Amino acid sequence: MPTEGGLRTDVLVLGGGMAGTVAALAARRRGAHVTLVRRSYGATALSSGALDVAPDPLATPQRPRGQELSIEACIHHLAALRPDHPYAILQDELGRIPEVLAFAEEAIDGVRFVSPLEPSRGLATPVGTLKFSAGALDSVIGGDLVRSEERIGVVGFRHHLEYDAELWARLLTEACAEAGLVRTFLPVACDFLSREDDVLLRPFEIAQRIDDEPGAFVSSLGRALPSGVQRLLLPPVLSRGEPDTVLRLIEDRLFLPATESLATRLSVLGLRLQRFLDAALEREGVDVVEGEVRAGADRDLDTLALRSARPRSPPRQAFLPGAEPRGEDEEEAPIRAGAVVLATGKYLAGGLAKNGCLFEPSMRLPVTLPGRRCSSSYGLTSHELVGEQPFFAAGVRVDSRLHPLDEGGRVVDERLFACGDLLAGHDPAGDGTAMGVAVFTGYLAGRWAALAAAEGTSFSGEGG
Amino acid sequence: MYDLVVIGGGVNGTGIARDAAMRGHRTLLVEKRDFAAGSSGANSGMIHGGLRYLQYDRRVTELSCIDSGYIQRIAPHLLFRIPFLFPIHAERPDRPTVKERLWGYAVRVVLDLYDVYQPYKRGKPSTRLSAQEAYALEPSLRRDLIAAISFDEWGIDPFRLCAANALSARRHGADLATYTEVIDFLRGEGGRVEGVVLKDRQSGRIEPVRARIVFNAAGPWAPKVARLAGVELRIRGGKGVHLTLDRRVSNYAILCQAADGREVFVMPHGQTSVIGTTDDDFYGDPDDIRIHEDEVRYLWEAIERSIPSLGFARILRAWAGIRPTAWDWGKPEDDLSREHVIYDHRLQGAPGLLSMVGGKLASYRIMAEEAVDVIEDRLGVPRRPCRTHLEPLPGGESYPDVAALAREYRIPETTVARIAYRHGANAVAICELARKEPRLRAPVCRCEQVIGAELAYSIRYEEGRRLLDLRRRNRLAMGPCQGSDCAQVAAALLARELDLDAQSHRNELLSLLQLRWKGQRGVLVGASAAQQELSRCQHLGAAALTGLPTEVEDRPPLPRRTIGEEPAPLPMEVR
Repeated sequence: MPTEGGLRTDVLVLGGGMAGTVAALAARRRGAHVTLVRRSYGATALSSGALDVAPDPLATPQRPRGQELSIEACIHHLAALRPDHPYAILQDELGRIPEVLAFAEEAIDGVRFVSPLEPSRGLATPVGTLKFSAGALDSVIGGDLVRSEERIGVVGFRHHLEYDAELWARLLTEACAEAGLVRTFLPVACDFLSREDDVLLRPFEIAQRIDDEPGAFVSSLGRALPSGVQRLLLPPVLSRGEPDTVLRLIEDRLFLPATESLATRLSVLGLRLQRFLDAALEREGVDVVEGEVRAGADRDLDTLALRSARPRSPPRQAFLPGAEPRGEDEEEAPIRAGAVVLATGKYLAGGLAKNGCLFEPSMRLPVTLPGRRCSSSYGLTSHELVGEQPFFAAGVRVDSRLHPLDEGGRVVDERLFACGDLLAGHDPAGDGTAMGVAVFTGYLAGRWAALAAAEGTSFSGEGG
Repeated sequence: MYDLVVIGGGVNGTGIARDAAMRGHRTLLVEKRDFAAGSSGANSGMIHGGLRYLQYDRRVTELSCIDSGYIQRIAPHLLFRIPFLFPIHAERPDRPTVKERLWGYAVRVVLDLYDVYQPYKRGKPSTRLSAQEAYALEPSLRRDLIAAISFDEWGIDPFRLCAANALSARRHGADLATYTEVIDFLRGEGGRVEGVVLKDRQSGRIEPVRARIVFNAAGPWAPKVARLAGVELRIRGGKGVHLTLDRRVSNYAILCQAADGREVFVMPHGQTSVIGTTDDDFYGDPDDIRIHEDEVRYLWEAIERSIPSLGFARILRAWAGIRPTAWDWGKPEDDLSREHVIYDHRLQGAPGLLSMVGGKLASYRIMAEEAVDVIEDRLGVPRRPCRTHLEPLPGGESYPDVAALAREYRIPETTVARIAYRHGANAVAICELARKEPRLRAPVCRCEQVIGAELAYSIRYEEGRRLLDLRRRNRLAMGPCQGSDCAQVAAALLARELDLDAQSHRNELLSLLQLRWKGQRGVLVGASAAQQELSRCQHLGAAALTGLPTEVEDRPPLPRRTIGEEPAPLPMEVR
């Protein structure tokens, strides 16, 4: 709530992706006044629709399903294998995983997690691989290929280059065979999108088209349906926001259960997830402000200022250390909070940047790469794409209460917390724990921030 | 039994195969990866006359200029003009020192001399510009000039040049074998080289092939190939690094001075700018060239001195190749002669084996002509006339009417222009393919304007067997997205055309991403770090490509159907 002298709030969350949203919702549940400041969409809005929590420790290319350990066991294994990973740092809180996932599922409409006592689900990707995930959007999670033995109709668009039903069916058959599953996939090449320029349509445009003409789409499916299909797997383009309409129509007219696959590039599902997060924030009464927050003096919570988020002049890159790209000068409003949660993401969303050396732009916290000096340019990456890449596991080091630490290992500020991709020791693309870390650390950061704010001065000015 | 086996599918190997085939010799071209996958592909993108060599290697300049003129004649669609600016700097432009003025004078003298050779390659003569005129032409320049002098060079796509030469060779009866490696030589009495033993990297099959002459044009791998015959061949491999930016940062190519006094350049090339280059002795494995951030910074700082606003552009990738320079001792890399040398290994106990090293891309044609003359001499046949400078390369027969094609086939004009640049007269065939199979009209790579039909055409008619080949033929994934947008769709198209199994399909995607990663590693700065994180999340995370084998560049390629000859170019009438 803006008052004279700028914004004041109990808990300030920086970043509006999964981690920031869960932190804001968790803090709100404890009764704090929460303001969430976000600059733009980040990794969450570009995500695949999968909510991966932890990979099976024994999964290999030859045995993709690994030992099919329960999600909980996978988390403990990961914590044991990677002492720098947030799961290991929060070892003592791992028992709260079921509570955390249940909270996320309940607070955010449209996502679902399986029970942590069960193994991850094997979901289809557009590339014809299987991704094992502990949760996903509602329209996706039902498409587990491991447990269902039905004959699956794989839907593509006959006239469109990207959604090739026959190829997809063949690739999925082989991928399942590699995972030791004998599954039948039948191509359903429908003739929706048969107008001349429809070949040019991008995924979100196809989703719009299906939104506009769901009946025509379902009819085209019906025409292309071979016999023997028991459920449908659709490409991840069912709708901009409400896939239930089409899914229900398929159920009613074709008498078939249907799910969407995960997405990869140009992800409509990622945007949908972001919308679900935004809806949850609104429902819970979190103040969302478009902008960006910077500390006036390094690491000083009392010098935070809010700047507008409108596009500035393009960032300049440089190789000289410390040359931070600066935009035009803008108006700044001071912002005061009882506690601050940093959920600003990694490079994609701008939570970390590299210009000569790695740095964290909001508060200039020190950035760590596990086991390496970050000022050196050697050893940040490895030559093999699928190898260990310390550069992408860089981040802010935290203690077991998610307080960022300075170079000497001391807590920077008792009121400051960090969560999500920003944390050191976590490679969102590489270690298969992106959403799990976001939800788990976000929840804890939010709760502890609310606690810290309540112990300090609340925004109404009372107490001490 | 072949008359000639050529080892190496770079510009020399394909040029020699073309010339030999045109002269009627039965030729086999063997390449362990793909055309221009080695040094020729790491070329700056210019066929430059060699201004630098005017001082001490004038023959190189002359040959390059004459041959550039011939290349223009046989492949006009592949060339585009790159005007250069040679800026003359002064610390205080209003009061230049004597030394600075003398330097400007010296540059004028050299460029006046270069003008003598410009007519060979239809280049414009040099023009002296005042500082103000230079700033008007090139507003991004730092304001520290006293004058600038322009000169002219031609840009080219080296991948298309090599592919065109190879396809021309095929048209004249040569056999092409990509992804085929020479693992041994067949020896006869007296140590005579009587052929090669080939390993097909697709099937693992090993096959002896007899030939009367074997020509080693393997570039940086030439010493390794020669060693298989027990022959020592030395080169001074020079590693050259380039950077590609995501946009044009200048209208002209600009010569800049690096920290150690070397001249480097930033030049507009198609839709990007290319910064180059370094020259360092390379002792490593040409199959494993890595680029270090040091080299990137060296180039970056050099250009930033002349163009202070460089930081607004993003480096898409860094790439490197090895110049197979002829061996000499005691000279720094830049001073080595760029002359080509043809070795006859008869004196080393391997008659029947010839090698060629050195030279420049710009003079490949004359080098190939000389080589085939020597080959004919060793074959003991009378010299046949060389016609490689007269007959157009495939696609160079005529230039299509881009606007008319765009209207007729309902493909955007910018796309047709790019197709016409890459394929010349054969653009019509690609448009026809898009009409026959409407799905192929869809754009696959929006950055570089590649539609499905162009990829299908390369797969079916241009020996396109892997995703990486398509990258070389059609600039797939070479634009700002570096494959984030287009790799998956292209891999699916390839899988469809070649009936790939799932593992090969994944392997193809990973190979492309690995190559892209190799280029990105040294330039993870600013927005590139964000782009790379996105790509990793999409491919390794979302598409679950993690955990698959890492040695993907080395894996044998994929099943190939014999597809067939290129269709002859359709007549120019569109109606």
